[in-house]
Amino acid sequence: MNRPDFVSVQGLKQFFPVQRGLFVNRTVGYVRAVDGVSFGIPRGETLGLVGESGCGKSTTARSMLRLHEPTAGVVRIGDTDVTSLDARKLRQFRSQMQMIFQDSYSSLNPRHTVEYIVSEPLLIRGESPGRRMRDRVQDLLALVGMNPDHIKRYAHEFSGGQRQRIGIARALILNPALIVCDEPISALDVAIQAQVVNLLSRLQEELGLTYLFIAHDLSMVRHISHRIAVMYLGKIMEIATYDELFKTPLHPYTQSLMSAVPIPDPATEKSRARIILKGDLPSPVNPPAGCVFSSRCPFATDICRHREPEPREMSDGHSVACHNIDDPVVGPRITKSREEIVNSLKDARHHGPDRQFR
Amino acid sequence: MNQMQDTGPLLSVRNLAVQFNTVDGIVHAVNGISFDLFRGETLGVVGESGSGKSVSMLSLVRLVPEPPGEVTDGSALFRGTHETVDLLKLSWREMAAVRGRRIGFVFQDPLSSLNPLISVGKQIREVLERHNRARGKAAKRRSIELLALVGIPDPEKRYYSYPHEFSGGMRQRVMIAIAIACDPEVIIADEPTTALDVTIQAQIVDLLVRLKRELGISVIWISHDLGVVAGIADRVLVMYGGTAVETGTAETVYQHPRHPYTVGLLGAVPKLHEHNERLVNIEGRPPSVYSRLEQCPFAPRCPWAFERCTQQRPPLLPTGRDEGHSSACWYDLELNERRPGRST
Repeated sequence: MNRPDFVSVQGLKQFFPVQRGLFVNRTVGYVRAVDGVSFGIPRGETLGLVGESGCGKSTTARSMLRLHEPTAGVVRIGDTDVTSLDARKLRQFRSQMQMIFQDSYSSLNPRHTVEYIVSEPLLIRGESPGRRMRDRVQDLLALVGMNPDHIKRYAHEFSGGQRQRIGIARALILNPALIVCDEPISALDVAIQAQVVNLLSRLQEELGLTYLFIAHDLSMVRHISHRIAVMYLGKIMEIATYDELFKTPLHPYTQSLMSAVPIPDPATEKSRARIILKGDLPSPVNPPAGCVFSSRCPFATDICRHREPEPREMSDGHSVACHNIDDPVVGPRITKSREEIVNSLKDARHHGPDRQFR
Repeated sequence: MNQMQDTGPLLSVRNLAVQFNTVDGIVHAVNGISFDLFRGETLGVVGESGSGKSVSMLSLVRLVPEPPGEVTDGSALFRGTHETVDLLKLSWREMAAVRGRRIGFVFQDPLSSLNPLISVGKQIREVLERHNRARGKAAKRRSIELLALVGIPDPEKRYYSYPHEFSGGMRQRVMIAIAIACDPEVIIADEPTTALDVTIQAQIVDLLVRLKRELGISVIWISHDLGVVAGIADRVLVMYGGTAVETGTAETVYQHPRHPYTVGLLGAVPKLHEHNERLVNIEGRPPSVYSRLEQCPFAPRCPWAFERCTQQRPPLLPTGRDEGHSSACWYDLELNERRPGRST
């Protein structure tokens, strides 16, 4: 936990103007997609970023890499302040930060061969095509578990899992330090998800990569992340190591999110207590006053509706943005429901036969 | 429950086979599956995309477009309150009377299943009027009741709203209101929560479980999410390559899976409450759908496979663990030995 952060994001904001008007566009408001997000990732670690759709996880990633120009905030990767780079320097620096996208159908050009797709970052950097480049592409394809002889094929000839591997190879070819994985497994079948997640963790061990891993599936995130940040409506509600977060989730939103994740075990799943949230995610154009979660929070009190909670460090590396955690009156109520959740998440292993899949 | 079972299953499907005749050849989507659905129970149908889970269930009510689809074999006896019919032999007209009235549907994507030009109230009314359940004011009143029943706030006002004015979870509630409008005996829910966020998914699962209990409806819940199915299903049918590979009570299938595919699938799912370092990798890919299935569909990916698996397709065989648990495998994982019998 004391390791220095390799990636550090401070107060990142990304607002998109809402415009009205027939001839002259007037700005009538802002979508506060990312509203003051701060976190750090030590080198070689994975930060999982989870939340429901529309909470700003992807936008956070995109503004971090300056695929959107952030409205405010500072992003540092290594010794470089990414937010202050000019266009030319930024272009050079992009080789250090790569991205893997959710939809491998739209992120791979159907008219290009795998060789061209994977080597394109090198070509953009100005290297000339040839034997050495082809060798490098083939090495990478082998590294991500594909047949290196398939470099002349087109993206449509591959399955979803293989296409995602092509995307990973393309992200790796410039030897980046940071890879942002934007829901890389959401579109895949369970068995294929496991293959891709296993590949990503193997690559991290071998190459010392740093990941920002975005997903809405908490159980998959738990599997790959060292630390996890939970986002809601443009803000980070809670950050903790995966163990802390799953054993003692403090924020009511984290608790309800976790109780909503189905567990593939009928005995546990049918008996455990659920916190079912009422209603839907509020609009980020007009977020609730005070704490953004107050409109759906089962424990919300008056202060929640008036004052925004600051993130507070509860224990080493575990920070929560909630008013009611220390509160002498409301505190016990939250502690109780937390214990309920912990109990309901008790170990319930299924006893499979002794032979193993490798 | 036992008393119910004396009268036999509500729906019993035998040897159902569905194929699609395409320009690239015949796609064998479903290769002879059999299952029973009892009154008041939830049957979870799980499998990866392309395993034939949706096609098999939708072909029962002829919602698979024909052509290119074609039901080539099988029977589906539906024991209604009055008479028993074979769903696969009904005429189009007779089938239209079954759909929506005796069998309701909830689909994955409510936005494309609802008509964007008609208010949701009218869409619920349409079902009631189509099946002569209610007309005019009574139909409107009933529609509003249904909206309230599925938990839509302010139903009198929302009756006039259009689908785009609802969020994803609310639209799915409207779909459910349509599905239960005529008190059906069965609801086929085809991945009803796949497009929703987990917290909304929990709301919808909760709603369907409550309605099922209150109205005594049997539910066929198709899903690729083993977690969701674990929470709702009484019995589970695991599908792979257009065949049923394992079936049994949810507890037995999850705790004591006896088909290698089920074992692998359960191992590939990360569990929220435990941190296993590596997930199970099932090497390889699902089988081609273009060839007729003569062998076990999972044999090429199975670590236990032996010669017989590639020569003869295993039927669903009872595992002996408990009643109704059977697995289509020539290898007995419980005893860790090959099942007796000669290969042909």
